[in-house]
Amino acid sequence: MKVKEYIESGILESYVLGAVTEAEAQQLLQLKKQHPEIERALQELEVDMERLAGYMAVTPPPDMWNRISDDIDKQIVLFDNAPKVKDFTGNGHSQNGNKYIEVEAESTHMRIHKSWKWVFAAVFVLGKIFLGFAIYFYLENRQAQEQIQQLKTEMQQLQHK
Amino acid sequence: MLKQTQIVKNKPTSVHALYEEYAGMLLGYIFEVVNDMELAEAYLVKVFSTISRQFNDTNWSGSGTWLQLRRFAKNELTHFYSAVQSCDPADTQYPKNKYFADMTANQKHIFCSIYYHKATVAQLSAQMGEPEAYINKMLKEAFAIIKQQHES
Repeated sequence: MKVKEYIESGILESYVLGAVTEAEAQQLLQLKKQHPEIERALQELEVDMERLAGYMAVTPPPDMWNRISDDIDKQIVLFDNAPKVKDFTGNGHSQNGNKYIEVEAESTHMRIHKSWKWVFAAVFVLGKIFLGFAIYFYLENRQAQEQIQQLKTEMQQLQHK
Repeated sequence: MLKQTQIVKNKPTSVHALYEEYAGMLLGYIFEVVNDMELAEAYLVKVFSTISRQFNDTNWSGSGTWLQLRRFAKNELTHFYSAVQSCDPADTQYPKNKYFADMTANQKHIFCSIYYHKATVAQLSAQMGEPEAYINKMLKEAFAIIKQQHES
């Protein structure tokens, strides 16, 4: 096979765009292993394809990532709310192909919706306010106790007189 | 010739990293297919949502990241491909791409059908009554024309 002719035939372009048959793709992958020139040409073509796409690129609007991020978050919430089904078939625990709901999660991490950050922030701020009140009333109470003690002492002194 | 170090890229670390580098290319590609910016943006959201679901199951190493992303977009646009099959060079509305100006009618038709409409070489060969070798050759020439426009 003439490798240069094969490369020049345009089949590599058709391959990277997914326009060849399965048999042609398998043949090309086989030839790629045998001929480093073909592998190199394919890599260069992949870079060229990326460059071409760059020429035709359109700048997305500024809020695009937020829209994508929101959509991904929705999926995470939906996924987390769905019961996890574990298939035990194939490991000796199969019971007529039944599926079991996994009760204990394997991961030690959890994912929550972004809106919970405001709840956590509010709990944190309220916690600080309660702590401030607690310290304030503690000091007030301590001062009152000291004043009572002082008054008691003064009264005892007056009685002795 | 490009050096190997220029070709091999690092594996993207997150969906956001992919977005930063490739969102414009994907939007440009999708827009050329659907010919409607609002719709193209909606498809871009869908494509990245799918990518986020399959991110860990996809091989992102090597230089084929763009081709992987394009595959994601192609899969998402499957329904659209079946609805819009036209890639007729006589169609003044489609394609609008400036790169088609220097192409012959056949180069334009073949490039447009394969790049934007998921056509295969065999399908085009049957449709145009030309051998598959001719289709491959025309596609290569079409890419060379686009490349030349940017290098000149």
